[in-house]
Amino acid sequence: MSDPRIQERLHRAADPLPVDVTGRLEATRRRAHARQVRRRVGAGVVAAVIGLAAVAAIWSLRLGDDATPAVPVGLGGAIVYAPASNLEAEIPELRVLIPGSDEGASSLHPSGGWWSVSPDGTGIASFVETGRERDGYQLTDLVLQPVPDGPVRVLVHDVISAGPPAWGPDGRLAFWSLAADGRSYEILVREPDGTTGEPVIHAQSPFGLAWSPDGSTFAIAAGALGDELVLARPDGSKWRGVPLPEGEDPSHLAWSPDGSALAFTTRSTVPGGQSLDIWVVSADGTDPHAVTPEGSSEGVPVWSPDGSWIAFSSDRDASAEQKAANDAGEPGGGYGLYVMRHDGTEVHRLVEPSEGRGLNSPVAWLTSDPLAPMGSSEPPVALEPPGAIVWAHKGVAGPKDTGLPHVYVQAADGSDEPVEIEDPPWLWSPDGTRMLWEEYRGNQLSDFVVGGLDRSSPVIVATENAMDIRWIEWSPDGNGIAYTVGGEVHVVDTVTGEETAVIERPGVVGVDWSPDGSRLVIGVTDEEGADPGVFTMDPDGSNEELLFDRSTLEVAWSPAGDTIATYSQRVEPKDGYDLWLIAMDGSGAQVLLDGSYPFWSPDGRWLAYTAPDPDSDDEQPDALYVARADGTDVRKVVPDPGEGWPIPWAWLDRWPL
Amino acid sequence: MELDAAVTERERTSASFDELFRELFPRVARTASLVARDPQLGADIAQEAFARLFERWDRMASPEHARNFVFRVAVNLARSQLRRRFAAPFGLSGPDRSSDDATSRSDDWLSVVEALRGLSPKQRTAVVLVDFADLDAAAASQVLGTAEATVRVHLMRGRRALRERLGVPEEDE
Repeated sequence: MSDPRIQERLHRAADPLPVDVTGRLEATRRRAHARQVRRRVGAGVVAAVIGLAAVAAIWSLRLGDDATPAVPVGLGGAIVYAPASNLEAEIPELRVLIPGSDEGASSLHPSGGWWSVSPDGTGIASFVETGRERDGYQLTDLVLQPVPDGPVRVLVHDVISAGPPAWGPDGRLAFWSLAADGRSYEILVREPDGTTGEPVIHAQSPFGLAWSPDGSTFAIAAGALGDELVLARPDGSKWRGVPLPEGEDPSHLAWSPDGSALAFTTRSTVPGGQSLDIWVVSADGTDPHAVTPEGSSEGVPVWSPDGSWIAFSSDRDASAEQKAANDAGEPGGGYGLYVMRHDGTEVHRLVEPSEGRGLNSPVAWLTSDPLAPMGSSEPPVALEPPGAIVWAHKGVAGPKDTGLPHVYVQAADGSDEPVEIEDPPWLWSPDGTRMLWEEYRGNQLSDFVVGGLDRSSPVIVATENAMDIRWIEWSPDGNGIAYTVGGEVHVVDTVTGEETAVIERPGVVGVDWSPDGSRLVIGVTDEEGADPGVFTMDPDGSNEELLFDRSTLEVAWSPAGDTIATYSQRVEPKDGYDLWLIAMDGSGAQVLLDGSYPFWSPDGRWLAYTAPDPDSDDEQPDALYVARADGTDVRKVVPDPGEGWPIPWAWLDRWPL
Repeated sequence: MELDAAVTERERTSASFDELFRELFPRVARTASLVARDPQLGADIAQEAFARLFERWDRMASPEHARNFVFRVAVNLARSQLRRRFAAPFGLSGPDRSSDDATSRSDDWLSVVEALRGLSPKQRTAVVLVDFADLDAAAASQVLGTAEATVRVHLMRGRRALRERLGVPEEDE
């Protein structure tokens, strides 16, 4: 039921807005017709990109050319790509490129077209023509071809598909299939036991399908769903559109390995032709944005296994003639293979632009070479430690006059230069879909707020004494925040903003949650009137337990839940502090090393911390290190910056968005 | 014979699209203007939404399906425009934009748009869809892609905030 007063005010405001219905009707028809024509042209482009055409030709890689930027250190794994020569090859091939290797690419030959490499690299699913037709369409079989070798198996007979199949968890495959009406398409899922369920999602003009790594979501690019890009549950029970700017048509969808983001190609019409760009959107459908620049055509994004790079195809180094043809929507070619960070920075060329009309386009990025012989002595190429460390430069003035420090992100193995994060949040939520930030009145910190990555739906979680907050941590499920201030622990519901507990504890500094969110751990100092130590308790302050009786500043509960890292009073002399590990099985605590600000890697195998830098002459020579959880394999990630000191701020299992 | 039938069907289809367009276009355009808080954008957004509807017209199961579809596209585009404008370094909101159109400078428009600014995007959209576009909560939930109960919560909170900002008495609901 409407609210009459509000109804009246809204109509009074908006009804006088002039609208030319007849003129708009004609313009709408023209726009719809123009787009239908563009879709038909676009279908040809997509077919070319996936390389169904074919004549054998050898295309030599020219890595090492003077004009080619060096492949960055730490770029691991194996990139499978379709070479430009497939356009004229009788037998199409896929090449496997080991970044940074001097070896040329090795190749394999998929059985059919619309290929898709399994995430573990052990198989290629593709569609093989049967030679039979239905309703004028060529029938194909969905087949699985083992890699590097083995008998090809038919998984599903007589399919009329519209694009490569999408791998899901546990070997499941989703694919488009022409529906019985002969006009629309539906998504079918082939289970590992050989069965294929009833379709629940139907669409017209399918241009892409990708299945999130955890199996929870289909990303679909197709017409007739209300939006050009849709995120849907595989059972069709819930879906949401991703609003894209007018005229952006998505295709080539690719989930990041942790499922937190989706990269895709968009094609839009511009005066005189078309524009191809790569966009990235968060898994919740928010913040779709372009990551490649205008002025060149880019597409077919494929994520690296650790999520820190995107491989893609681009004509940025093509000849002027080729670029002009591409911009006009003609197949000009000149597409090379490149990698970049998710935000479009640090672009490196891996394969030079094609001379002809073909495209070098990535197909998959695997952790290791799928063609390496079994039992090879070559270890899989992987970054160690994995992911990216976000660190804050404490002790020097930040970018604003607010107390917030400069914040940087860099590969956890220290292989890259740090990149400053502009306007960083205080903390990302554990699932990366929300963040905690600070609000200022003038230059005065006034509130801590949680909300979406675009600062939507803000909920204030701390307002009184925000300036004095010592430590703040998000609960593992993202529904709670715990912080310490003025000798108290506060627990706040991040959905309602309601404070659910205030636990009085003089001297408390550090706080963290157990991995299952059922307990808190706090670190209490030996300041006057305080009862020092490390304590665990329920989030309402009940069932308290003393773990360790030394004065403690910082606490960090390991992802496995079996250990708590602390910054606690040294045995001798007592005015110093060390990084300790407390075992939750009751076997006690031990000093790990001389360090502070312990921070666990997402897999719990590594710790980041701040400690003196013996290579620096500075009076306060602190650097940021990582070490294995047993204290071995110590590596300096951030050297002493001279002024101030670096502290771990977050450890992400991927490059942050 | 078959050709005649096809032509007749196309004409019939075209006529029903035109009919729906003429009936809904002004309402969709103004809804988009309110959601985007921009008097000029509404008609452009509505045109794009109807162009997408036209492409899929033969897939629409009913007039309600078509209506919900076109509102959904329009609302999404309006929100998208809003985000893009706010992301601009010198983002301007609706009432501040220079315009020669008298409507966009009217007190009624300015006060309503300023009041809508204080609502969350979901609250604003829910209120505009129900109290301006005359959709019921069930249809609004289809448009927003969310549960009907959630729409009602957004509606209640949005109306409360809007009443406060517009000075409409509380006891009216």
